[in-house]
Amino acid sequence: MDEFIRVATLHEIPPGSAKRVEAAGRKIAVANVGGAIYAVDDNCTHEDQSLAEGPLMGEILVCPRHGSRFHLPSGRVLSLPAVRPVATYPVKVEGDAILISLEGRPGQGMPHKR
Amino acid sequence: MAATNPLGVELDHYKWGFRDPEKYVFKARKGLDREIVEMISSMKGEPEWMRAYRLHSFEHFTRRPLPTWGADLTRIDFNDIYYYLKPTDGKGHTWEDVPEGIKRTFDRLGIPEAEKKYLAGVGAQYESESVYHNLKEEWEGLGVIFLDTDSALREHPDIVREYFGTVVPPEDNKLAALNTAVWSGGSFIYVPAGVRVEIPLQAYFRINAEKAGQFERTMIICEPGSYVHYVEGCTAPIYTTDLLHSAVVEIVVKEGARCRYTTIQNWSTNTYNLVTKRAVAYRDATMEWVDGNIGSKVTMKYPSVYMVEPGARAEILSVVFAGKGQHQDPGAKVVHAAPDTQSSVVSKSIAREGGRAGYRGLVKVYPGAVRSKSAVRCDALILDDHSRSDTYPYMEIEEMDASVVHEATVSKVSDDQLFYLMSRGVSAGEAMNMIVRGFIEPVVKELPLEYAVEMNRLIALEMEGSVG
Amino acid sequence: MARGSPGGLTRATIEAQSARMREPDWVHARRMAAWDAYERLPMPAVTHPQTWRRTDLGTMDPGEFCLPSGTEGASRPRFIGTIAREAEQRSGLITHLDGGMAGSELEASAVQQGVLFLDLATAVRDHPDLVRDVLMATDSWPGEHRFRSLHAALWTGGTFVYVPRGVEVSLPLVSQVWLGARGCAIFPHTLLVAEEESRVTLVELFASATDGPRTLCSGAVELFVRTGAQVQYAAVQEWGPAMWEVGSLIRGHVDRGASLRSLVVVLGGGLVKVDVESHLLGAGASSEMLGVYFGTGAQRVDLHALQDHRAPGASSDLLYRGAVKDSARSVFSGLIRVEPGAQKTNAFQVNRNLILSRGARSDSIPMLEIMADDLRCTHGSATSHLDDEQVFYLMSRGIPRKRAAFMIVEGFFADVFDRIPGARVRSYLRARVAEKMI
Repeated sequence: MDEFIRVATLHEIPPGSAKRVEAAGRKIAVANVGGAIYAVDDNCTHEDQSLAEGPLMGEILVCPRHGSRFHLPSGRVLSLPAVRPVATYPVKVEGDAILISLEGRPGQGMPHKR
Repeated sequence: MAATNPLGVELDHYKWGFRDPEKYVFKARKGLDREIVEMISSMKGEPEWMRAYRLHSFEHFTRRPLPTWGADLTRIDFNDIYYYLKPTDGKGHTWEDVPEGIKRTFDRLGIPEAEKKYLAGVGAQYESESVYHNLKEEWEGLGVIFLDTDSALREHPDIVREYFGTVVPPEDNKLAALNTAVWSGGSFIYVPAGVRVEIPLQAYFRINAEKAGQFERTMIICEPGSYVHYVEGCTAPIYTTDLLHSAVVEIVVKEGARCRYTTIQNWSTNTYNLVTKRAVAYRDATMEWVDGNIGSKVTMKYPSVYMVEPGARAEILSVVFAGKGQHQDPGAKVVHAAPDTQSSVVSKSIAREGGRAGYRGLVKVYPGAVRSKSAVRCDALILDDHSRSDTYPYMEIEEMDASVVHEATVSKVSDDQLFYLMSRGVSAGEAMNMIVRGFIEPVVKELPLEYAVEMNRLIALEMEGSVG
Repeated sequence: MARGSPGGLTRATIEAQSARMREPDWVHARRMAAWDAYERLPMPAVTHPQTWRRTDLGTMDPGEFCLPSGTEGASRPRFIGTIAREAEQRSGLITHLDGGMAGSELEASAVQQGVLFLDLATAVRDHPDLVRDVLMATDSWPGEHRFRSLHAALWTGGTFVYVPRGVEVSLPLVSQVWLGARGCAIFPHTLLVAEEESRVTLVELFASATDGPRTLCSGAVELFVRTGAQVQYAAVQEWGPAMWEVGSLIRGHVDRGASLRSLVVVLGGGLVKVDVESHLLGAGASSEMLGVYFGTGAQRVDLHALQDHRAPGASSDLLYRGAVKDSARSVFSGLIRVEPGAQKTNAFQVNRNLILSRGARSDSIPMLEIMADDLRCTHGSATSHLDDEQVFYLMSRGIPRKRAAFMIVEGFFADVFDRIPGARVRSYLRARVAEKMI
C-alpha cells in the first residue's frame, strides 16, 4: 500500500527544525531543511533516543545523546557511535500539509563509505 | 556538500569574536572560554571549518555534565589549566627541578642521558634525527603519511576533514567535547591501500611536536589491505605539572586491513588521564589495542572496536597497575554490529598499597550479528588488604545466534607459588617479580621487545617492597 | 472481582490501614516516617541511574494504585489447589489473598516447640519484642530508593516466621500470596528469624489474575539467620501479565557459621525488578543463591544480586540461569563485594543465558568490588542460543524439534529446579516452562 498519511504542517516545522510525529504506532522524526522535508525513524540506531530532540545542521540530524550523525536524504550514518543507518520515509508536501508514506526504506551508507 | 561533510557545523553560526585576529595581542592565561578557543585556531592558521567545529564543541563542553560513573572527577578544576600558551616567566624547568624519584627511575630503566632530559622536558628534542630521516624516506616512498595532526591539517586538509569527528564526535562525552575544542598535536597516519608498514611508527619520531601534549588528537586511517603498528607513550614516567591529559584517538580500519595501537602510559601521579579511543573495523579488518596503564592519578579509558561488517575482528589486551593513591579505571568496549565478527579481551590488573585497579567493559551484540563470538577474560591480582580491585563488565546481547562468554578472577599471589620458588633459592622479592611477570605475560608478550623489557623492569621497580 | 479502595495511595491510606489493623504506635510511627521519605524521593532512575536505567518504568506513578479493600470475591489461584493437596509435604501453610490473611496452619509439633508462623500484622501486635528490632530496623531502609520507602510505609499482608534456638522444622513452611483485585497494589513483607542452630525452610508462592489492568507489587523478604542456623528460602513468582513487580527485595543476613540458601524463580509478570541480597556478617557464614528466570512475550525481567562479604572465612556461591524468547528482555546484574578484612573469602558467581528468539535480548553484568587480598573469587557469564548439535541429536532420535527444544531448555534449568523443595511444586513449574516454550 503506497498510502501517504498526513502527519504535520509546514507551519509546525519551520526551516531548521525537526519534530517527532507518531503514525500507525511508529515514531518518526520529520525535519525541514531549508524548505525540503525529510522523514526518518525517530530512534537513534545506537541507543534509545529521539533524534528529533537533537540539533539539525543542514541536512544532518545529530543525536543529542552521543553525537551520532545521520544524513537525512539517505539515512546514512555519518559518525559513530551509531553504526547502522536509519530508515527513511518518502515525503510529500501538499500545500501546508506534510504527508509521509509508511513504506520505510532502510537507510544506506556507513560512516566511511557510501 | 553537506553529505560529505560529516561535521555538519554551520559556519555562519561561529563568526569571529573580534575584528582583527592577526593584530590581537594574546596573553597566556588559565581557564577556557570562547576567546581562547578562537586564539588556538587562529595561531594555528586553521581553515574556517575547524575553527567553527572547535567553537561548537566548546559550547557543548560547557553544557555537558561529567560522567556519574567511573573514577571521581569532581576535583578537576577546569579553570586551573592553561589550554594554550603557558606564560614564559623566564624560569624554565631545569634538571634540578625534576623529582628525585623520577631521576632514579630513569637510571634504573637504563635510559640514556639525552633521552632522560627530553622526557623530563628540560632538554632539547631527543636527537633521533638520522634514524628518523631514514625511516621517513621509506614510508614516504610508500605513500604513507605520518605527521603531527596540526601539520596534517595544513598539508592534507581534505583527508582530515573527511575523517575528523566521524569516529568520536564531540558530543560523545564531555572530555571528547573538550578535546575537540582545544586539541593540539597528536599523530596523523594514513596508510594507502595494500601498503604494509613493517616497522612500528612511534610518536618519538614526530619531530617538531610537543613531546606529550595534554590534548592530543590522533587519527589513523588504514585503507583496504594495509597494515600499520603505532606505538605511543613510554614506560619512563613523564614528568609534567599538567593536571589533565585528555586525548582522543580515532581509527578507521577498512576492508582486510589491520591496525595495532600500542600504548604504554606512565603519567605522573598527579595527572588525570581521560582518553577516548575508538576504532571502526570494516569487512575482514582487524583492530588490536594493546594498553599498558601504569601511571597517572586517575585513568579512565576504554579502547573500543566497532565491528560493522562481516569478518571484522577485535583484540584488546591490557595491563593495569595501581599503586598508592592511584585509581585506574580502564577497560574495553567491543560492539558486534555484523555477522561473523569476533572479539577477544584480556585484562590483567594488579593493585597494591591502597591502589584501586579495575576493568570496565562492554560487549554489545546487535540483532543480526549472527555467528558472532566474544570472549572476555579479566584477571586481577590484589597484593594487600588495603587495595581494591573492581570489575564491571556489561554484556548486552540482542542476537540469539551469538556466543558471549566472560570470566574474571581475583586473587592474591598464592603462598604456595611463592614458597615453591623460594625453596628453589629465589629471594622473596624476585619470586614475587617472577609470579607477577608470569601473570601479565599474555599481554606483555605482545609489546614490541624493548617495551616488554622496560615494562618488566618497571613493574619490578613498582613492586619493590611488596613482599614482607 | 474484588475492587480496590478508591483514592490511590496517600497518607490517609496509611492512617486507615493502621487503624483497621489496630497497629501499635511504633509501627504506625515508622510507617509515617517512611511515607515522608517517599514523598521526598524522586523515582529511582534519577537517584540510581546505573541500576535503574535498563528498565523503563515510563510514566508509572505508584501513587495511582489503591490497596485492595478486602478478600470478598477474590478468586483462587490455580496452584493453591496443588499445594493444598500436598499437606503431608509441609509443616505449615499461610495464605494471603488481596493483601489480607486468609488462613494459617502450623503442625502441632512445631507449635509445641515455640515456632511462630503467622501473619505479620498479628506478630507486631502479639510479639513486638521479637519483631521490633528486626523489622526494617535500619534507618537507611526508607532512603534506599522510592519503592523501599513506599513499601516501608504501606506493607500489607506479611508473613512472620520465628524459629527458637536449636529447633528444627522438618518440613517446609509454605506461604502463598495472591492478588485478584483489579488495579491494586500490594506490599507483602516476610520476616523470618531463625535463632541459633535452628533449621527451617520457607517456600513462598506469588501469583495474580491473568487479566485486568496493571497491578503493582513491591514486596520485601528479610531473613535473619543467626549463628549456626540453616535456612532455605524459595520464592516462586508466577504473576499474571498485568503485574509490575518493582523494587522488591529479598535480603538475607547470615551470622557466624550460619548458612542461607535462597532460590528465586521468575516466570510471570509484565515487568519484574527485584534485588536479591546476601550479607555475610559472621565468620564462616555461607550463602548459596540460585535463580531461574524465563521471559516470554514482552516481559521485562531485571534482577540484581548482591553477595556482600563483611566477615572473614565466608563463602558465597551464585548460579542464575535465564532464558528469553519472543521480544522479552532480561537483565542480570550481580555484584560480589568483599569488604576490607574479609580475608579467606570464597566467592563465586555464574550467570548463564539462553536467547531463544530473534528479537529477544539479554544483558549480563557480573561485577566485582574487592577490597581484601586473601581470597578466591571468580565470576563467569555465558550467553548463547540453543545448541544446534543437541537439537539435531534429539531429532535424530525421533523427537520433534519443538519437544527437543523444550527438553534442552528443561535441562538448562534442571540444575536449579532440582533444588526446589516439594515435588508437586517442581512438576508444576516444569509444566509452566513447557507452556512458555510453545
